Amino acid sequence: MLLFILRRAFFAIPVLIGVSLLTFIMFQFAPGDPAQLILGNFATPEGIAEQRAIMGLDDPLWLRYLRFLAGAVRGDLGKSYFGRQPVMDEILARLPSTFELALSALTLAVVFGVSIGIFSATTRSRLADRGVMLLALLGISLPNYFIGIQLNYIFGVRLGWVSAIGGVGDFKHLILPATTLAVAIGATLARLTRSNVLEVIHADYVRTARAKGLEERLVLWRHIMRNALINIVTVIGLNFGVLLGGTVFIESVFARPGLGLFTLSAIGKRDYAQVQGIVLVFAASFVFANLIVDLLYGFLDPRIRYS
Amino acid sequence: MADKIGDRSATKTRAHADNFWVVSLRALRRDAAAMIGLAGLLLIILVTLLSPLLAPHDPLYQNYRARYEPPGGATYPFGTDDLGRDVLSRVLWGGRESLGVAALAIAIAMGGGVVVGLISGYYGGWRDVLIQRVTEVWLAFPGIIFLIVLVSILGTGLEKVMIAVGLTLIPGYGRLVRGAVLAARAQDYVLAARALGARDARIMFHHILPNILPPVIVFATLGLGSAILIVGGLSFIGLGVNPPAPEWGAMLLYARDKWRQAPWLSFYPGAAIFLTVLCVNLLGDGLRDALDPKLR
Repeated sequence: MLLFILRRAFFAIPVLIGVSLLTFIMFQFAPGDPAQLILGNFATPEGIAEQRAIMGLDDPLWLRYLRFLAGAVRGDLGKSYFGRQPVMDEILARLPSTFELALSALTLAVVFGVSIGIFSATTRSRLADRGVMLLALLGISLPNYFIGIQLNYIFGVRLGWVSAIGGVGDFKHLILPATTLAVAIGATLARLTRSNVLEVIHADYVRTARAKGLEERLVLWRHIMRNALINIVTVIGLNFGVLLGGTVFIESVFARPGLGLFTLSAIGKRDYAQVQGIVLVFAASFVFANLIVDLLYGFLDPRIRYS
Repeated sequence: MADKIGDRSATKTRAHADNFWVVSLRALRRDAAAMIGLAGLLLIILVTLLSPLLAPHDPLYQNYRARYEPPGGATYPFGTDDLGRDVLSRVLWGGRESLGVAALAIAIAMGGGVVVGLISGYYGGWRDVLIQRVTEVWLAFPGIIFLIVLVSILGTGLEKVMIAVGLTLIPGYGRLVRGAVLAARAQDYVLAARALGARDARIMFHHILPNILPPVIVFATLGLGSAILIVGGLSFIGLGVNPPAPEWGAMLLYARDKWRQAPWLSFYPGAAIFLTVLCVNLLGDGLRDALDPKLR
């Protein structure tokens, strides 16, 4: 098992290097000269030349990439153009809030999505199945920014139960954003869980398990779900991207200070040092999340571990 | 299709019944939900195309004597905004950009993905390795983040959004096509075509492509739904269509700081996006069921 973990972790390294390379190349196309942006409109040509020399902007591309990579590996993402703060510190200050939002949304989505999917697949009522699946279809069709606006209007403005706008740290500020972000992923998981459970529910080993007199609850969890879970975990992994990207919209709707809102403000200011750092951190966490999913595979399915 | 000749049960009942597309279309027609989705989508497209004729007012005209008119009135059924612009007319006009951009973005993603996937799957070797490594890195970026950054670098504007969404989605299609090509490459009809001396390009596009198209079509239809959501979302965070152009996502952004006074300003454009995506998803679900032979 340890060997398996190490091997998978090792595979993530070339991907991370590729990610850093693509990020670096992308930002070569960003409009504007960083030195000019830092010094502002009234900078002299000499001042700009000096700033470019300080930042090493005149060095060959490969050298600048290596410097970028060497910095990133040590957690140094450079300084923001305008505040001249270390970008890493700015990101770390906002990371917990976004992490809290993403993790709560994911938990909600998995708990509700998977149980709804199981219910839909196993219920004998065709009507209940159709009804729940219709709700799931509505869930994947609703724009999350629209759900956010409406929930905020209903619970915040009309009912006055929660003032979800701004602020982090307590449950009142978390519940609406997390629910909003969870809807689409939960609905996707519900649909997927249903079809996967239906796929294995008629398998021979399930019939065997029932025939030997195993309790229905154990048949479900030990035989049906254990096999359906592999596809479900895959989709959860694929949805980390949706989750991280979704935080941008949700934090924007609820004015929730976090990485998403930070991304938008960085783009608005054209502070590409910040944007570049954020992209790298988002991509690295995505790679890391997928690594965890890969490891979960091995845990769920021994065949993968030993192959 | 050559590989269906052995299927006698179908030829017995109807002369042309063994054509995959005919059978699939018949299955789709029996799917009530899919037909509702198709009808709804056609209606939305029609209304969007005819918006200049259908809209009761100029979507940009500001009537300062009718500001914040609540919905339900005879002149302004969907109400007006803070500048006295008719919300109904703006909603009717608002689909033009988003639907067109989303559809073209999917076309870019599909076209690019088909070419990349065919090359990767058909030739294999170093081309495959190279394309797969690039795909892995590409997919290592969370899609929406990648997209937002791409738009911020390319600059806002409809064609930029279209290209950015298309580029972001290419790897997904590439992966799908590659997998299907790998399965098709060893099939008899491909070997037969090669034995007859067909060139690689002809085998790829003339023989393999039609056979692997069904899953791609399903993927693209369902993808169109998310593309509409994304294009609206980009406008909502200020990276898509610029005001005062009437566009659903941009209308939602505009309505943001007016929730208290005028909740209807965000309701109607949001509902328009939702209904469009719902219709697309209904159709996509139906297509998936109809085009998947395993389910028949």
